[in-house]
Amino acid sequence: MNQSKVQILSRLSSMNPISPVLAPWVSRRDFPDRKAQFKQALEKAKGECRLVADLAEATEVVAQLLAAAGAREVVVQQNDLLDSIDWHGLVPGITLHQAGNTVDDWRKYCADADAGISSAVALLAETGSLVLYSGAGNGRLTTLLPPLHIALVPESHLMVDLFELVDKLPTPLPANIVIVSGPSKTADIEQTMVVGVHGPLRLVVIVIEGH
Amino acid sequence: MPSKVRVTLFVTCLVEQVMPEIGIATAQLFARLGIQFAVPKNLTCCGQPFFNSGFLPEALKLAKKTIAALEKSEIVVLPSGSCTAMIRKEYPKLLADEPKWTARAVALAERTLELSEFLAKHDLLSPRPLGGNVTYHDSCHMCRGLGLRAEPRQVLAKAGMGVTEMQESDRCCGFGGLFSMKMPEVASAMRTEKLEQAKDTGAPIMVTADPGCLLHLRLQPDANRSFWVRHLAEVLEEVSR
Amino acid sequence: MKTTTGDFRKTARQAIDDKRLQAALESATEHFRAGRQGAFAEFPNIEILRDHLKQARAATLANLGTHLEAFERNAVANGSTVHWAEDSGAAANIVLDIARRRGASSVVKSKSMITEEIHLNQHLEHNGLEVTETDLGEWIVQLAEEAPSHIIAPAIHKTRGEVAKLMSDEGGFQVDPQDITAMTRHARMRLRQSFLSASIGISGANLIVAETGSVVLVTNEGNGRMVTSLPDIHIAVVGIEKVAPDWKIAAAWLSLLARSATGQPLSIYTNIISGPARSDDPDGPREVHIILLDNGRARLTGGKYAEVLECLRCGACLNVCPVYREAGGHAYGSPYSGPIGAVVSPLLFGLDEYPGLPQASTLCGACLDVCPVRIDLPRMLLELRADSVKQGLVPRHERWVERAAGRILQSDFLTTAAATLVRIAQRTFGIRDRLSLLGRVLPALSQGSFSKWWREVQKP
Repeated sequence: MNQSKVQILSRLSSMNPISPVLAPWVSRRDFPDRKAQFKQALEKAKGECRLVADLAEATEVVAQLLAAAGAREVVVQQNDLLDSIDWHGLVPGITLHQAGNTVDDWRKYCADADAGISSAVALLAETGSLVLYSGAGNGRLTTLLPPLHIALVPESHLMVDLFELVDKLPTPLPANIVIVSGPSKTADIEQTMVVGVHGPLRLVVIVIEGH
Repeated sequence: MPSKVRVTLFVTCLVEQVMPEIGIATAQLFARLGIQFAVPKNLTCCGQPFFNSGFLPEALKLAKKTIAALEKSEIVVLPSGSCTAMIRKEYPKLLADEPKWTARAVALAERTLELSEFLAKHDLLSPRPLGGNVTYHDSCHMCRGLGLRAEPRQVLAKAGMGVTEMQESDRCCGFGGLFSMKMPEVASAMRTEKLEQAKDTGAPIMVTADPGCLLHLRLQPDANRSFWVRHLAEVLEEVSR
Repeated sequence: MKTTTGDFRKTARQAIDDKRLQAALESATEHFRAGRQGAFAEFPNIEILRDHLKQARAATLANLGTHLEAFERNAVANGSTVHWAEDSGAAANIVLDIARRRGASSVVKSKSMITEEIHLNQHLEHNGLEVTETDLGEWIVQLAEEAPSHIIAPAIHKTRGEVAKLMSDEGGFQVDPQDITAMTRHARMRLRQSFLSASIGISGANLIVAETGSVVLVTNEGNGRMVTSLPDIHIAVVGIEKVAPDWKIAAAWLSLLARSATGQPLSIYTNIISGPARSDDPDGPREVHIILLDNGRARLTGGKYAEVLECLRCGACLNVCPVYREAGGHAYGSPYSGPIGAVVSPLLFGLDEYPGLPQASTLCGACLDVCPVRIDLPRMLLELRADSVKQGLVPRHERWVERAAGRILQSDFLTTAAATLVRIAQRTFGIRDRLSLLGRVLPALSQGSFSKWWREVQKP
């Protein structure tokens, strides 16, 4: 065994009182309208939330957002939901790269992209958060480098809070999980809030109701 | 409260030697309220300054001396939140290694009350109509040490004093016992903040239940004498005349 | 010796005289205090959650070895490499070694107090590596070649004009000193170049989770994600006390952390790293190294100061401390300032190095009030003061005065005699209200004692 490890472990006290087994925290939190709570919490953190009736409407919203942002290059994650959208028909003239298909210059595409589009494993109502897992077709940089992050998420992925999420973590965990609770921000200069630092300047979550 | 119960008044060392007017006000107040009380001999200091600076042997000796002088009393009242906290909260811990003394400390702790706590608990004040406006400083030992936020306000209200709350009424004034001597510029800056917040209420008087805070606040250079800091006992005594 | 009482006072005095710094300190801490209050009011049963997390932290520390070994097992199973470092030098050398073996020349860092503790930047730069801080506040203080002055808001003490100048000098072109948004955009653009080209990303960890061998890093800016996703190699340095045994406890921890620090329910990005990129991940680091650092923590377990290891590093105690709010962070002379710094710095680095810190407090108890895990800092400050006396770290004249005063007060006769003598001296020298002695203003004794009045009033 590593010498430093041995030294450190030996320095730890072995004369500790036996603590009783602690019952885990049970969050009894819930909200009469989880969607409304999610929207409120996200907007409080300067994120944007759109509620749409179906995937078609969601797709329209994405098209509008991309057009309004003047987006020319876009990076997209891959999963069943996102793969069912006709991306190339969406905004004519747009250059699109998909996470699973273009690994080689993936980093450059994300760095140059005007928008990154993802889904989410879960939404957390309490904190207005989006939960993202890395994996096949799901890069980290898609939702990190571009200035605009758009997420399309079925309503059925909505959970109450972090405590519910940790009960449903997969085994094994993906290499990276990010819980995103708004666009990036800082108040490091004279305590003045500025939205948009290193991560996206804008976060739009489109919740597909009834999905 | 039964008239046969005798109260022991422990004025505390700062009052004894530096600000006797607080003790005098307390004594006169008690007399006017018809409270039978005694002022014991054999008391000098509860030991807190020594405890706070890490001089435990000195603190221990004074703790024992204080317990011996007070333990025959039925009720002990102090016009000082910090000394009350010392006796009630620290003595049992300080003497934890000597079981006989621990028991004596615990017994005394159960009978020791701060002034406003005593007056509120036994409902001793007769209500008076509104006659003045003050602001109240929650000293650290009173609010965080003993949990006594309501009692001083209750007795002030009973005495006809309207209390206009300052911002951060429970922010430390900077006395901290010997701290004000060890780090005078920080203590002074803290005092300035407290006085400004108090003056901002528009009340002419700031009231406190701790002689230590009082002493420190009154030492402000350029103190504008039209805004004054007074002890709870002084205000209550004046109103009772 | 790093910080004596005199050192603290000197830097505090400068901070107190600096009107602008005072306004900045007040505005920042007020904002955080109000945020915390709002967040706590909104959360049901938060007091019970605090008790729960306190018990969990205490129980974890009582079995720290078990949890650390579980962490290592699970981290290795993810493909991470776990290193153990006994002290600062060992940890810094492990980082340097990794950098050398990979031929790395540039490093990006996200904000990490523990890397300040081990003087990592200096060590790496001294050995030819380029190190860029990426948290905006940390980058600003790095450009200014200063130490951070608050655990959560490192550049509290800098004005926008000062920041603009630092950025202009660094970038080689003008930055508008009034436009804070422009400065932030400039930082985004400038630091992105560093993120994209760096070979190594170094972070700390807000906590690590033994159950899955994961590192958890929270930021608002996104630099934590950048540093741990862009470079090929990610190195996380973390204190051995920062472990949560499982995800249920981690969730409680995260629920209290940001709420206590700024009032946010969660930081913008909660980043959970469980090993390097998997074979079908489009991106992510190829290597993840986790350095578990002791540096004085292990020997505190099981003793009267073990509680200090429960700290979540939220900064709530700084935001309420009336001493910190006047003196500022630099007065402490340690990467850890404020109430937690006053206790943890002497404990980790030596009381003889930081004799002034346990004195830098009025014991007001505001810190204990707000600590999410109810760490009894006032109790430990008192213990450290008693230790200071026992170890002879209290100046001789002070010791002499306290011992003499203690002896006098033990005797009713000596007390009365001494007080009488002082009163005679006061009358002789015409001292009424106060006197100046050794640079201190002391209150004068009253003309007559309370007991004297009482005796006279008793006379028929």
